[in-house]
Amino acid sequence: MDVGVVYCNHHSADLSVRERLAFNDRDQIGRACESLRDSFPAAEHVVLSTCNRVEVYSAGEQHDLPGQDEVAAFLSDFHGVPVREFADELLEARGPDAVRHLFEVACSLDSMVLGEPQIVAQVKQAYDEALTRAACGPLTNTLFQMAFRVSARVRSETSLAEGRVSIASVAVGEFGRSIFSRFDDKRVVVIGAGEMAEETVRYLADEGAKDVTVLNRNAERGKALADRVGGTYRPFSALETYLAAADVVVSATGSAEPIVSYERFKKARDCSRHQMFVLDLGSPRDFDPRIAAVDDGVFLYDIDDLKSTCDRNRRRRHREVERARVIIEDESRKFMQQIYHRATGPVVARLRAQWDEIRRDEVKLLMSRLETTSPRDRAAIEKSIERIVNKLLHPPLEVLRDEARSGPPTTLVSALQRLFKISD
Amino acid sequence: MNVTVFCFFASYVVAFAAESARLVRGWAALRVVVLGFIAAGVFAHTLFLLRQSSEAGLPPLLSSAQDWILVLAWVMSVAGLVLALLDDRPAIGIFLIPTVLLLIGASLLTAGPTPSSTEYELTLATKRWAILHAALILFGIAAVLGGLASSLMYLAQHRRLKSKRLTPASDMAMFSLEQLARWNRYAMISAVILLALGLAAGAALGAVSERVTALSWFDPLVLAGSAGWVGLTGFLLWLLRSGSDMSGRIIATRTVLVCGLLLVTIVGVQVLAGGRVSLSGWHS
Repeated sequence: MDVGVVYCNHHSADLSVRERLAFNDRDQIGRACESLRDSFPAAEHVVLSTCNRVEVYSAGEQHDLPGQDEVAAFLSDFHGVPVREFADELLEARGPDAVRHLFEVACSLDSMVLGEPQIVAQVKQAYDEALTRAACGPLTNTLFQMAFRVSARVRSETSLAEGRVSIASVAVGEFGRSIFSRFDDKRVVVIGAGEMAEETVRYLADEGAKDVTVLNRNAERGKALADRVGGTYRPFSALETYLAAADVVVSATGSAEPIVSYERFKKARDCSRHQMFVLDLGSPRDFDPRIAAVDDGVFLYDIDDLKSTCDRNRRRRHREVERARVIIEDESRKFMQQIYHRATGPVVARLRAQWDEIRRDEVKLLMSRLETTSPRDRAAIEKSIERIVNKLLHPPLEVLRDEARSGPPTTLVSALQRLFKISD
Repeated sequence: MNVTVFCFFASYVVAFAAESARLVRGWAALRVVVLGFIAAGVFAHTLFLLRQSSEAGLPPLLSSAQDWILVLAWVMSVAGLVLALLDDRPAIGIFLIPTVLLLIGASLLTAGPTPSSTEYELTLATKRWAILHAALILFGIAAVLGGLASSLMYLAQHRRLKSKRLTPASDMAMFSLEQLARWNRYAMISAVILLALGLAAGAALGAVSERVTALSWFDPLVLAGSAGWVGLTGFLLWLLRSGSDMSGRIIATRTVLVCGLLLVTIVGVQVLAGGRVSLSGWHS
C-alpha cells in the first residue's frame, strides 16, 4: 500500500501555468475525479485545486498508482494543454513524503499566507467531491480524516493562525494601506460574489470602507453579497462605468478568461489619474497584467504579488512553523506506521490461520487418543497448546510490527511467506 | 562643557547608520539605538546653540548664518525625534537624518568669525523684527524641507509599490501614498505662507532699523529668497489647480525639483556670503 501525489504549486509553477491547469469549480473537480477513477480503477483519487496549487492524490497498491507522466497526460487531456508546456513544473512525492505534503497543505504551511483558514475548507471540499464521485476509498478516507485532525491540532497547539493571515487581509492590510491612509471616503468596486470577494470586502469594511458596489454576472448572488456587506448591486454590464470611478477594485471571479482587457481598462480610465488599487484575486487572473503599466496611479496586484508579504509572515512565524512541523512529522510517522502495519495484515492473518489449523488438527488427533481424559483436563490441554502456538508466533509478529514502524517490512513479509509457505 | 559641532554630527551619523541597519535587520534593539543617538544629538545640538547664543549675546537665529542653519537642522532633528517616537517606521530617519547632516555640513561652510555681543547693539524693536523675520524664514525653509522629504518618501514608496516589492530584504514600512501626498500639500502651503510672512517681516525690519538701512532690494539673499518664494508660490498654484488630474508621482518629482532648487539657492547664497555675523552681514 502506498500514497502518492503529483502536483504543481506556487513554489514550482507560475500563476500562468497554474491557471491553465486549474479546475475552476466543483463540477470540474468532480469530472476529474471520475476520469481518474475510470483510468486507474484500482487506485483511490482526490483532486485538490486552489489558487495556489493543483494536486492529484492517489492511494492503493504501489503498482496501481498513477505516476508523474500518467498524471501529466491526464491533465493535458483534461485541459487541452500540451504536456511539454507544464511537465517541468510538476512534482511528485510518494509514501511518507506525500503524506507529509498533504498535512503541510492542510495546515497551511504550504500556503502563501501561513495560517490561512480557507485551505482546510478547500481540502475538505476536494475530499467530499472525491467521495461523492466514488473516487476515494478506505485509504484516502483515513488519510484525509487524519489530515483534518492534524490541521486542527496545529491550529490549537501553535499560534500559526493568529494575526493577519488570509490573502484578503494581507492584500488589504499591507498593500491597500500602503496606498491609502483611509478607506471611508473610497469607492470600492467588487467584481464577483464568491467567498474570496466577500472576505476581502469584510476586511475593507473593517478598514472603514462604506461605499461598496458589487458587480456580478449572476444577479441573485451579487445582490445577496451586496446585502450582506451593506453595498449596492449593479449589473455586470455597468463594469466600465464603475471601473472609471473606483478607488479600490477587488476582483475574484472564477472566469476562465480575463474579464478586463488592457484596452477596456484604458478606455474606462480615460484621462483620470487618481490612485486606483486593483486587487486581482482570480485564478485565472481577471485583469490583463499589462494594466499595471497603464499609468502611474494604477496599482495592480495578483496572487503571486502577495508572495513577498507572505514570505515575511513566514519569517516572523518561523518558530511556530517549526512547532507545526514537529506535529506534522509525528502524525505522518503514525499514519505511515498504520499503513505499513495494515500492509502486513493479510500475511499475519494467513499465518495465524495456518498455525491455528495445525493446532486444531493436532488437538483433534490427540483428543481421539485420550478418550478417558476428563473434560476439564481436555480443556487444560487445549489451552496449553494454544498458548504454545501463541508464544511461538509472538516473536516473529513482534519483529514484524517493529519493522513496520520504520518502513514497509517487505523483506520480512517475503521471508515469512517463504518460510511458512504462505501464498499471496 | 565643551560641546562642538562634531559631537552632535557624530551622534546623528551613528543614528543614521543604525537606522540603515534596521533596513537589513529589523531588530527592536536598533530602534533604541536610533532613538538614543538622535536624542543625544539633539541634546548636544541644543547645548551648542545655547552656548553660541550666550557668547553672542543674541538669540541663535540672529548670531550668525551658521547658527541660523544649525537651528534649522535642530528643528529638523527634533521633528525627526518626535516622529520616530510616535511611529517606529524607519523611513522617517532614513529621509530626515541625511537632511540634518547636510544642513550641518552646509553650516560649516558658512563659519565666520566668533560673534561678539558688542556688534549687536540693536534696539528692542529691531531685535524683535529680526527674530520674527529669521524665525519665519527658518520655519518656512523647514516646511520646504518637510515637503522635500515627504516627496522623496512618496517617490520611494511609489517605486516600491509599482515594482510590487512591498517588503524587500527589510520589513521597512512606509507611510501611505495618500498620507505623503497630503503632507506634501500641507508643507507647500505652509512654506509659501511662512516665507511670505518672513519676507514681509524682513521688509518691516528694514523699515524700523537704522542699522540695516544699507539693505538693498538687489541684495543677493533678498533676490534669491524672493525669487524662490515666487517660484514656490507658482508651484503651489499649479498644485492646487491640477487636483486629481495630475499623477502623484509627477507632483512629487516637481516638488523635489522646486524645493531642491530653492534650498540650494538659499543655502548656496548663505555659503557664498560667508556667514557674516553682524545683522547687516546677513545681507551682504
